[in-house]
Amino acid sequence: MSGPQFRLPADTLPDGRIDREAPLGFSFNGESFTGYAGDTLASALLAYGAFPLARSFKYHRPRGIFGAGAEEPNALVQLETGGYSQPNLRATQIELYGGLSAASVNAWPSVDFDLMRVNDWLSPIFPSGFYYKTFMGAGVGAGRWWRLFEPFIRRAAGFGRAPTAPDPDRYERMNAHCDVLVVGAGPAGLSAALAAANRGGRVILVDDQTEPGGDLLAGDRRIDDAPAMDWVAAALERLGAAPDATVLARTAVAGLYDDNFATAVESVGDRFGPGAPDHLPRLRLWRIRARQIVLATGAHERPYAFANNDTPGTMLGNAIRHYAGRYAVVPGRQALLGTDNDSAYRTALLLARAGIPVTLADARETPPSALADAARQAGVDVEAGCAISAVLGDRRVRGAKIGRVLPDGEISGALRPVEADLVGVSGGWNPALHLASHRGARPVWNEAQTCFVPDDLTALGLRTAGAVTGAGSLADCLEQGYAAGRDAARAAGRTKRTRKPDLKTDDGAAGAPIRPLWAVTGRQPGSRRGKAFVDLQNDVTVKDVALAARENYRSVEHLKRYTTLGMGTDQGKTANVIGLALMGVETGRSPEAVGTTTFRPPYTPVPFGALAGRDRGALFDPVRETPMFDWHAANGAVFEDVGQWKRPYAYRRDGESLEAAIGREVRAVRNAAGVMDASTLGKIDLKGPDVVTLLNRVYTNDWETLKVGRARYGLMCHEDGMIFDDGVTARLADDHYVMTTTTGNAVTVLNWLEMWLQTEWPELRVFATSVTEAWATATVAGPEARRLVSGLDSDIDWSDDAFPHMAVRTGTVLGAPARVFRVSFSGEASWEINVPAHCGPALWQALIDGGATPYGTEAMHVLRAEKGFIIVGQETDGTVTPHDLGMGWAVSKRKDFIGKRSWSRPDTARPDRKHLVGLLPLDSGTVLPEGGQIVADPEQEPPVTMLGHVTSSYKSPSLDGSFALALLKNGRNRMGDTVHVLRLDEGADAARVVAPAFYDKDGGRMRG
Amino acid sequence: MADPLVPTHPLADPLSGPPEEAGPDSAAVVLTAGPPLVLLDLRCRDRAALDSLLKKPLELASPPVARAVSKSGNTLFRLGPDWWQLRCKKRKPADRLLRADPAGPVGVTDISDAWLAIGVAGPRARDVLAKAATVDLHPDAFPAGSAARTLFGRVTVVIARLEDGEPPAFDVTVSRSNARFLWRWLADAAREYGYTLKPFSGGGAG
Amino acid sequence: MLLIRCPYCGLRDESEFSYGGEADIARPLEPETLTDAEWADYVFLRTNTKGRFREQWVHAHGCGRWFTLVRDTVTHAHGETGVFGGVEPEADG
Repeated sequence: MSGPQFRLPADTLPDGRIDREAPLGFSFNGESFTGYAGDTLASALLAYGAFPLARSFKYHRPRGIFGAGAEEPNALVQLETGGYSQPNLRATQIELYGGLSAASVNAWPSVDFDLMRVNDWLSPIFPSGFYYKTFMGAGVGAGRWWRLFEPFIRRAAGFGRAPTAPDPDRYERMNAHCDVLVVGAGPAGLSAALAAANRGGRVILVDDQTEPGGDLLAGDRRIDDAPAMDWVAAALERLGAAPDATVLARTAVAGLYDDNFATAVESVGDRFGPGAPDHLPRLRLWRIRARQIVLATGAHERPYAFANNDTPGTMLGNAIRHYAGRYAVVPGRQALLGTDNDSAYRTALLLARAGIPVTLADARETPPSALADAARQAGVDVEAGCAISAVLGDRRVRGAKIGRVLPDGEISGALRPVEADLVGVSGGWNPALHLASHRGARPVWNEAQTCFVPDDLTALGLRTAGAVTGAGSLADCLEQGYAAGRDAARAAGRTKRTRKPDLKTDDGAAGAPIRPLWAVTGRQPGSRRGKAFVDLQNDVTVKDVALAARENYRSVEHLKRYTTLGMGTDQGKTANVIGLALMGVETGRSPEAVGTTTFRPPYTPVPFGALAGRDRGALFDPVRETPMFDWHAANGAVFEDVGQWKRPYAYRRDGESLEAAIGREVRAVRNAAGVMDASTLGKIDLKGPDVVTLLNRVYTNDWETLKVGRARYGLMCHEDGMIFDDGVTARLADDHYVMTTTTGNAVTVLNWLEMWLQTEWPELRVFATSVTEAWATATVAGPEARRLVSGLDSDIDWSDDAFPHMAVRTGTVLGAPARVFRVSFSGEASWEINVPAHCGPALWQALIDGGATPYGTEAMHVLRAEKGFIIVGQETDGTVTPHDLGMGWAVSKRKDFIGKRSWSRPDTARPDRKHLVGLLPLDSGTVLPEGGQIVADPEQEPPVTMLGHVTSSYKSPSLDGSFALALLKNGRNRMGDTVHVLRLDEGADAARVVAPAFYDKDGGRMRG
Repeated sequence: MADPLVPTHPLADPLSGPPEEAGPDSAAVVLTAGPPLVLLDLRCRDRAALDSLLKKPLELASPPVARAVSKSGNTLFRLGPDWWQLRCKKRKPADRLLRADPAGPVGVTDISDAWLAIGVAGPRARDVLAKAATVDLHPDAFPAGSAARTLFGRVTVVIARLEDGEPPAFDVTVSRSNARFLWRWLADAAREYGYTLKPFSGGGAG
Repeated sequence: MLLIRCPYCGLRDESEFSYGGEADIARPLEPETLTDAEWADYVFLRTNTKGRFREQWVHAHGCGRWFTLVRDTVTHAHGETGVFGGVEPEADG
């Protein structure tokens, strides 16, 4: 690549926003380049010429840079490599940094020699809808063809590659609040932000460019007889001095949501590349809650279509102006500009000032004389009533043809060749109404400006100002911005009065209206390569739109899906309006009648990292640790996640397998004493004279008879009669109870009680308070447990007579206040000792020192399953009643309670529902798969009759074999039957149906 | 054997975890693990009854919802219309309140060990909290005396600004089980600006 | 993400709240006297209103109170709120 020969020599024009003192080296497709601080990747590359840097999506035609901002359809690049890599970034929005490395996407094997270009030459067989017609149709074998060709098509299609290495970066998130959020820092946005800040409002001004200024960054505008950028600098200074104004450059608003909630992505470390300082996040996702929003999002220039309008060197006219004025880059020696409105004249004048010969084809028969005269005076060749018909050249513009254009876009008469290596096209402006559309704004067709503008959203606290409203003049932008900012601040309650600034602009004499031109048609030279593109990113041509119309895909939604118009990463920012206008021409409708598709967030693509934010790695989800966590971690605990809790699953000794550890722990509880950390169990203190009434209503059993000092097991159901929690509730004093819940439902149950207390039974005098974390809980269980707890320094009498099964005692343990429950989930004599959380580690250590074996959740599961004790969420799944589990003993017949009435509904009252049963595999060494489906006949022809499923399944050290619990249809009447449990892969295991209790069935062990 | 009456503290020194200083400016954010709390949960549907219960021993009267008042080192947080938390300087007044009749108009429950306080101070304290808090912590919206129970990421906390001062210092009450997670989270979030960690130094880890 | 007006705490982010469905579904006082159809109506059936809908929310991560809220299910515009059990917001709150 020869040098940056298209960078204008210093002093040709003012240097815009680049710093020639700060050169930056970078590489593109492996070649070395140099740009300047202030460049984008696009401007730095254009300084070397408008060479192809991409291949198009479908036809793999060479493509160059087309725009200068978010609207860019072509110049998608893969930025950097490895974990840092990002695909499909727009070169026009990548701020240049030293050492940047980027590559083309969608070219194979390279952008200069792309084998897939064959698609272009074969295009007659690849019309719109090709894939649907060929592969998705009902024709014989269509599906088979698709399977055969899909891998090839998938590789040929698509753009960049997703990184395969983990993302090494940090992404932050920030919640912000303001009175007025202003989106877009062009003249309208700056004016709005100033007006709002002057009224004392909290203002956030967001702009996706590297610096505020918007259109003024082109450097050719004047305000108050000085360069407009001086006004920008002064405005920023005033915002900086305001007490509560925040200006966020390099920040793109991605979406607007209900109640004026906005998300925006700020490039922080990103602009320094992989070498960014370590403490900086790459991106920051802003979540902004604004009382009022001003959208000053500007407008995107649209082209009109003509043959080979995708040839590198063909660009949006206003983009050429920006590259020249902002970056001192003009990627050509001779320019042809085509326009149907006034805006190309500024481009022409700027190029002329830079010494570039310009031909300006103005489609209007009578261009506005003031503009045309000024242009001609500057040496511009203004051709009235003319439009660009075709561009010549393949990998680069080598010339063009223009001709006289009729109102429908047809060329009449002879074509005239124009020497040019740079072609700019200006087909009018599309207000960037995307964000308004996110809030439900309906695009309204503005015939005078021939564009869609957002309708009024003031009622939602949303105002628009500047080019997004269709405004064309700088004066209008400043004026509208001021009014919107002032009104927004006032609506947000900022009533300080301000004076409207009186600014003089360089808008000059009135121009002439646009003569809308969508596509220039007629006989084109070079039949094969004369494609006229509507959507450059998705390779949708004028012919494709006509084909869609002929095949009756006329609604805008059908047009989009049939042709893929507007479905690329640019979401058709330059393409949509032309596409639907052409559809209107084909079908005799106005663009408004054709309608628009709905814009949805995000406005520009958002990297997943920015969305994930801080929620990754060790901080992905909150972690909850019990007071004894450190002991567990230091003593071989393998943790399992129970909700957010880290609970010891088992404690593995050196060289011990997990299975061996679980077996050892189970045997310790059965034969000696074990201790388990049960701190995670939900605990709710209930106080007040009406607690017993509440308990009677939420639990299925009777609570009138529970005496102080006693505890009782209860089942809770929802109103549909299905179990949702269980636990033990103890009566500590006349009007003071403590309820325990399952670990996972601690919060749910408290919320459940509060809901009934607040909304249905406010007359009940009950206070419910979670004390889950106030207490550390150690459960001591086993035949040696009494000896062990009796050895604790405590004032509690642990004898059977004084402290029987299902009793509760308060006292002191190790000098700390304690609540002790004599309850058993293991089937052994067992005490749950609760001490204040900060004393938990000492209690735990004392029990370990006394000889207890620590056991984890898996041993606990085995122990309770041997007893046939259920776990809510394992034996139940929201479709299981107490009767299904054979727990009718826990149901009162004397009272009403939540869920009771549902049990007499026919389906709930059926005798053959699924029942809880035990299963003993015929091969006692087989552990049945949990979740395994139960069938009567594994050889049955599908559909196989399902009888239920295995809910819990373990190897039991106590039983010397494996066993399972299951929900089995009509299970209680199948005792002794043999059923079959399907394996997860193939085959089945036979098992005998037994009662769901395997160990110490009369419960003698836990009572004494 | 460890003396059970010496409080253990999840954020006690030495604490394995993030380095105690990091980032460009170690004064930008200062995280301080608060001492063990003496904390009561108070539920009551009759504000006058609560005020009369607290008036004599503590000279405190209920503030509006989402506000806190302090007097002589005791702080009363109003979490909801019928819900308060009382943070006491000493154990004694708390014990006296705990003797209230459970059938009376005020439900008093000891939740001291269930919660811990983390101080978040420094010129960038608000920015660190705003990374997860959705409540507006701007001084206009969150003046001294504000105390909002809210969702911080996925952790329920009470964020309070108990005292005047610039830059504002925040007090975050977090459940004991989440304290270390939040501590690590805050340190990680503060790395961008720089931080100093001050673990609790008055007792053993646990 | 909605901004929801809690009658006690003012405007807070939707993430602090949990949804409780249609409001004004009173639990029958004598469930055993209801037909299966009447009981099913209470347990399972809710209106699916397009437009203004009175529903209940709980400020789960805030003040903990349930309240009713009128929300337009089409636009999300929210209207008047109501309280339960006579727990009125205080004038100074």
